[in-house]
Amino acid sequence: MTKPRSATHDGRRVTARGKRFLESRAPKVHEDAKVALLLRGPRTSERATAAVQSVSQLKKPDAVYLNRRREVRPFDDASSVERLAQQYDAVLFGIASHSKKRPDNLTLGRLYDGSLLDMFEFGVLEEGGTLNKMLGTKPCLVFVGEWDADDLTKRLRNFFLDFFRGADVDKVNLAGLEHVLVVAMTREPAIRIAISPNRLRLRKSGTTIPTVNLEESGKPLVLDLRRHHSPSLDLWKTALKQPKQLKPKKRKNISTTPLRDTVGKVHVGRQDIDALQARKVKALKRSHHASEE
Amino acid sequence: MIDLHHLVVTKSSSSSSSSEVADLRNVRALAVSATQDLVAGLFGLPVERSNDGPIAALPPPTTALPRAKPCPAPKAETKWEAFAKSKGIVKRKKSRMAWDDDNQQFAPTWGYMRRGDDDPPIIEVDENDLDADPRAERAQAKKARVEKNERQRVANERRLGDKKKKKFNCSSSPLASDDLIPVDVENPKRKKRGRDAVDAALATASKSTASLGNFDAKRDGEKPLKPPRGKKRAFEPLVGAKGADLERSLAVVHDIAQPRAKPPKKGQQERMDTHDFEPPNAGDARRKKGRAAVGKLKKITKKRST
Repeated sequence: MTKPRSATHDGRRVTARGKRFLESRAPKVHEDAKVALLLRGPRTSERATAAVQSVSQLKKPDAVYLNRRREVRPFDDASSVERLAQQYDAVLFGIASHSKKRPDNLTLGRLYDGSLLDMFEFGVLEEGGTLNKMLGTKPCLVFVGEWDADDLTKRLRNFFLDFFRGADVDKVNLAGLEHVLVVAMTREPAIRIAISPNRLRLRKSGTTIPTVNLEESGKPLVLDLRRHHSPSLDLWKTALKQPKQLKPKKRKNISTTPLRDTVGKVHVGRQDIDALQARKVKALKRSHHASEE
Repeated sequence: MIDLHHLVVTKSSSSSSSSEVADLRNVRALAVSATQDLVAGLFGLPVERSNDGPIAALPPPTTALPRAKPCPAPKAETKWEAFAKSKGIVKRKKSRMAWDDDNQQFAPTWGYMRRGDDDPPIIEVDENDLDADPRAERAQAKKARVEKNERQRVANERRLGDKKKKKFNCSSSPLASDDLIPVDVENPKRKKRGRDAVDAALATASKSTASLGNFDAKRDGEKPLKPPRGKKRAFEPLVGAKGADLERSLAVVHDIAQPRAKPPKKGQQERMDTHDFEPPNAGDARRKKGRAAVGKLKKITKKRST
């Protein structure tokens, strides 16, 4: 008896189910929403744990919260976080920890291709709380403050945008916009960030654009920046590379004027004058004599 | 700064001294006005009606965000695929069922009960080789074919594995570095609008008023408008020199009597627009021959065949 032939993946022999699993984790052209892995470090305080739980609430349904304490110290050795993230196919992570030197600590970071890209360490001032939102709605992100001031604040904004934006979509239902995350920052004396969830209320204004009102839908999470780690330029550039399929296609015969008007050029094929239907006049009819035989 | 693709907006607080996070009232007002800007942008996008509400098509992103995993590598070619490509061999689809002439019915092209795969109860053997077992030979041949295919598949995958991209080499135990790298990596290929284009846009805009920009207020230091390009229509004077009018009229009459033939443009057919059936531009070397030279007239008048 011959054994049933097993499926293969990258030269490895796996079962069909295993192959499906590996394919689901293989790189994709259109990536899914980044999943966040939220953990507790070797020692935690109540406040730090509450903070990481409220991050999990903000990130739901793309969040995995692990309740058990684990030996993870990403600023000393990122490999343990990388290994755990690989297990859950997570790209983002958040770790609560507590020590004498850094009380009520929250570390947030992201990975690229399973290895650490960048991370930030915060001291928790206010831990946020439970959140009232529709699961799976794409949040609007509103950054308030001097975010364009320097490279660090720019990177922080890029990080929070990447962390909370959810799935990458091409279309959005305007009636379904309801979750607004306001991320406010001050730089004096140190960088302090407040993330507050809001519910969006749109009211008729008489024009096509409705009037906006924001209602608080949860307590703010207030963080003080401590340490940070940023990637090498090479790694950052590699991570930013997009596949060819996602690049917009060249549009032929469409140009833009200096006033940003779009001008199209239409090519009409050569007209066949012989087949053109002119006015039906008796005189233009083909003579009957020619066809009579 | 708005990026509609990611539904994100940035608003800097106007006064730096009072920008305290604790001062939530200030932040709140800024957040509401920023959200209003974002909503205005979103409601200005082209929408598609649906039962659940208007669906806006988002523009491409302006903020570059890192990917979670590298770009998927294109599927590597097998040895046969590479060979077929070099020889221009195109894969043709086989139909599942084909006509079996022997049995006078349709049968599968491959697989169970396939065409020409009958297992006769009696197989003739050469009398010099009576020990031969045709059924065992057949099974052996099939097994060899399967094994060969498997060997080739494994060899292909081994080659494919060699070509696979290596993971980005990055140390897994980083130190907290304070040297930052910029978030926005500039794309040198991206074209900017440029000073000339802005000037041209301004010139077009300033001429796009009811008075063509003649009676618009100028700002300090604004350059005067350039005179319009192209000819202005010139009119003959109402009263001119004696005999000028007559001369002009005679010239028109002369043109009617003896039209000036113009050489045909490229690709244009010659036209019989002279008198006395003289072809125009008789000296032109690029005269067409045959039917094209005769024109369409001959096509229409057909002689009656009797």
